[in-house]
Amino acid sequence: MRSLLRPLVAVLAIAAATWLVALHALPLFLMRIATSRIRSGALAEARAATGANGGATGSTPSGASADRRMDPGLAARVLERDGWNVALPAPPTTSDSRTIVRPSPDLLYAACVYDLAAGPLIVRAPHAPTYVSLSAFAENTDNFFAANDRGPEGADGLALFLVPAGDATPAPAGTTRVESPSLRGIVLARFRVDHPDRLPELVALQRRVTCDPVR
Amino acid sequence: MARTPHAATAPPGRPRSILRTLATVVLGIALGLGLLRASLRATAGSVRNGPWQTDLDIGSTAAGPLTRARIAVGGLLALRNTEAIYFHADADAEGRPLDGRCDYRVEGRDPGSAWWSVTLYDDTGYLLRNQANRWSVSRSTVTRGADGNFSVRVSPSGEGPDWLPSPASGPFNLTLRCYEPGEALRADPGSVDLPRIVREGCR
Repeated sequence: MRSLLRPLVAVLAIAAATWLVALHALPLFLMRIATSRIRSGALAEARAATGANGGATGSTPSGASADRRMDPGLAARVLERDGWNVALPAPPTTSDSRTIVRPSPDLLYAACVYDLAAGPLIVRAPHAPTYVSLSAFAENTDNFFAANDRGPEGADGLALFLVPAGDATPAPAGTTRVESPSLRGIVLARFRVDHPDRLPELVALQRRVTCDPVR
Repeated sequence: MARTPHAATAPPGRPRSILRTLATVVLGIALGLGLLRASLRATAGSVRNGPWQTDLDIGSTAAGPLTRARIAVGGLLALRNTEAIYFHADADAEGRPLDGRCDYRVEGRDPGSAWWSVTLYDDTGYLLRNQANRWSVSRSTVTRGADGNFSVRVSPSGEGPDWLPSPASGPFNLTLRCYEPGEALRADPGSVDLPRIVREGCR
């Protein structure tokens, strides 16, 4: 009896420990996957965009595809910052959107994968006629900040001054100062697409989202 | 190679105890991961409203580890409840799993938020490829009667603004997003009037 009980208790103890560790590690792990997917997607697009500038123009795709090509200025910033700390407008959500689970087809997203090791960031989103929100997620997935432009203070758009925990830099005028619990995380801008006819107008606004180091 | 038959007859020595420890650890880890999978799948939220499930502490820094893990798996980057409340349904009003071989109606009225949408996902949590390129209905697109009620048909085929394409077969699920939820919705999401998911018939 005793010889059976001991291994059984050991198995259960290891199972409980595994459950606990995996439960706490899972959000961090999935957030890292999301971060690296967003960055590597942006880096690939940036390389394609800059490569095409110096390459053969004979293979330039049709107007629609060319329109989706990353803006050269953005591509340069993405490459310079290795995909961190730069606002990345995502293409309109479709069944091809597989970067993050459960994407909304009624929203246009722009993401900024951040690393505050080098200091604070300012993230700005313009006011939109429909709805725009800025939200920030820590590396453990916690949504530690969310604001939208529906109130009177959103009429000029949203401006987030994101600092690492304990940083005392005062917020520039017109920005909301928020401490990030972790050095790394994701800021997400959401624009509501309430009608397909509005898409071009909203895509133009989505491309005006910025995420830049203060210095 | 010759060790195995030898070890079976010999008194419990080192190789045997190492093997036993290894088996215990592997079994324990496998059991732990199995339990994690089961606990994440057991429920889509602690608040129930008919077939809809949600959690008020989604995205919150006060969320427990289980809620946080569940959201990381099923809805990474979900907003906290001041900005949006997400309801998830994988069953109809009578608790039967949503099935592509059946047609449904999602009917009701505005759930008490500035804006809402109902989106259909496949069982991996992504949008379903369909010819109409339509994946959701929303407050902006749905047709409402004089009484404010809407009725959306969920079926593999259909047309018009009140149709949501479903797969021809297999499981699917619905997410109801309530943006800028009102006081009543935030205070008690389990008892507000949410759209009903009525099964009409199966093929």
